[in-house]
Amino acid sequence: MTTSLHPGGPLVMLDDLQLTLGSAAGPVNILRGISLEIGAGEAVSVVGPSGSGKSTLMMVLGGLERPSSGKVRIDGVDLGDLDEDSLARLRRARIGIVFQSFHLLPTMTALENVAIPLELDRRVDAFTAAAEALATVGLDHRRMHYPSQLSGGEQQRVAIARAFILGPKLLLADEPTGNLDGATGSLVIDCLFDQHARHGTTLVLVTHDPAIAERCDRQIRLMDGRIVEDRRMARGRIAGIGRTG
Amino acid sequence: MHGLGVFLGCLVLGVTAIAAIGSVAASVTTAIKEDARDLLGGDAEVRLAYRSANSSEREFLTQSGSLAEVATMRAMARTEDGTRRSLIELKAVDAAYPLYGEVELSPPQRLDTALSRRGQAYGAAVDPAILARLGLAVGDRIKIGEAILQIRATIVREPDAATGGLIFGPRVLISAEGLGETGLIRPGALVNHHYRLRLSPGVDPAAWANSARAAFPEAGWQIRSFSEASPSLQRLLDRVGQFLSLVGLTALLVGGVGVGNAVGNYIAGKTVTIATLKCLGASNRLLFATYLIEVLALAIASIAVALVLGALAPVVAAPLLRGALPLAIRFAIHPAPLALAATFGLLTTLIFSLWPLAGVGRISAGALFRDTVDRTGRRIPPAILATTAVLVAGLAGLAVATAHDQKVALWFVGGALAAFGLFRMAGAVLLWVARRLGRPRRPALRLALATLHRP
Repeated sequence: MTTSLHPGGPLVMLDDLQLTLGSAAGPVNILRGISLEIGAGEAVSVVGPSGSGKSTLMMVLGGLERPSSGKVRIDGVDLGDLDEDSLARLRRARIGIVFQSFHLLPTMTALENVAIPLELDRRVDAFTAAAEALATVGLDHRRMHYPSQLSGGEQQRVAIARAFILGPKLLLADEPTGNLDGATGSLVIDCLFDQHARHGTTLVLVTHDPAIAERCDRQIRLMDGRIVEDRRMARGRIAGIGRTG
Repeated sequence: MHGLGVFLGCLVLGVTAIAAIGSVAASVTTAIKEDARDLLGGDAEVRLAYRSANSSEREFLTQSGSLAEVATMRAMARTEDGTRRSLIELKAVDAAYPLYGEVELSPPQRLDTALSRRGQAYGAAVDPAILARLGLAVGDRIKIGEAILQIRATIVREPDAATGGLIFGPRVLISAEGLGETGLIRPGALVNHHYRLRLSPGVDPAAWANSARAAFPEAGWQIRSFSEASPSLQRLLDRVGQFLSLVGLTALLVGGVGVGNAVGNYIAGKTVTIATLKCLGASNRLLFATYLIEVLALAIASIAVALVLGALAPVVAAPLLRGALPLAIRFAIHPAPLALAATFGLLTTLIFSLWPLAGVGRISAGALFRDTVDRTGRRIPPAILATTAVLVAGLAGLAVATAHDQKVALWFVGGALAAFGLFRMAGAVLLWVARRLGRPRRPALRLALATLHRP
């Protein structure tokens, strides 16, 4: 059991998280006893080599994968108590996700893509709010364009607008600049941190880029499904980023 | 909606088949009812086997309304020199025949003119098949019994042709006087006498039939009203209609497999979209409903197209059936068979779509983090299994309930279920064999076998 560093209660709490998947070659331990607390409004980078369990950790945090054992609490809610539809409602209300490959719906315009979470939430002002969100990421002029008509950076900014549209308490970003060139990636990361600051959202960000990790308040390093390092950054959120490839 | 062309094709074909068969059968049934008096040759018919009506019976019939008398029997027609012969259905009519409808002849002429005596010979109107069979032409003579008759015309349309039972030979129409000349009417001759009546206005044929039976309880006559004008044709129609309906339903069920595959492939092509929507907070229930509505909308559009095609089928069938049926099929929309076809189509769509649609719930959204979206688990939710079972029972029940012969329909349902079971078993055996064949040396063969049984 971890000792809480967050007097108001952590937004994310993982307790002895284990995840084992079956395979033809036998059971594979993906996550091995991860315990972790993340406070509200924190920006946390998750780093580590491929296969260390970063993506799986994000899936568990998003309620998209159930752990084999251990507890996951997001904003005080024990995910183990929820069925699939309740998990979907929790994601809609409290969790935003930004993917490396953007995952915009190709048959919908930028505006419609951003409006999806609002529509799922049955908001009548879905398209007005979506247009405002697109304006905050500098894409007001591209709202009627389809994903195929947008550059990679523009697509990722649409995805960021979509992820923040319902003001989530937790934002999961999985290598958000992984498919972008350096300059575009820099713009996207600025956009991401700007939205994080604007909404006061807790940010958990998987990255291979040390410069991006440096901009976070805290860095967690995974290795073979375990946390091998958890350190607070000296001053977090330095201006400008570089890319390591 | 790409990839759903197969869905459209399968459903349109299957539903069109059922709607078309039902519409054509309904058109023929309607024509039988509308032309019932023509088909029977009267409002009512009294049939006597092997004897004609006696004087008191004849008096009763004459007083009931206008009377036409017809005698039918099997006979042999020969060329004058006796070298060629043919079994025929001989029909002798009086001057009042036909009471309803018209006999059409070629070359066109009045029937009584064609059958009248000219010189030494009475006339005959014949089925064109006889001319070919005996090598004769209009104007030549044939010998029936002891009479020499001149062929004056061929029969184009005989309104009451469908009233009889089995027809063993081509028709030859002669006059009652001509029949007398043949010398075939002897004691013990297998002749049927038909007395057709145009009843006096206001007389109900069924009530009249009862009064005739009551008046002559010992007559041994068979009485039919026009409402049962052509039971043999109706029976034939019911049987052929049922057979073709089951063929249509078979086509729809086979098409249903195509529908299922098309929906499965469509959902497979949407896995990233579905996974993304799940990540954005869409529930399985919402996604299932979304794609179910999409499938239903497509099904309704396909069924609508099929119903239009099926409703138009009688227009196409009418000229094709003109030679085969003694009826004029008129175009009309028949809602009942169209509604039945639509219900079959909708049930089949649901039965074969629900399982592939249940695949929405098996798409692992979290795999988007790995850029490889896959499906987890193969279990069909119990609610889907139960719904499918209810729908299958509904489809089977509808097929049996609407069948002319319920027993045949039950056998069909059992056969269809057994066939699906056997195909499933055959597939499992094929995979089992493929798994146990090992790894052949030839790469093409190895890859082909691996594709069969591996994910």
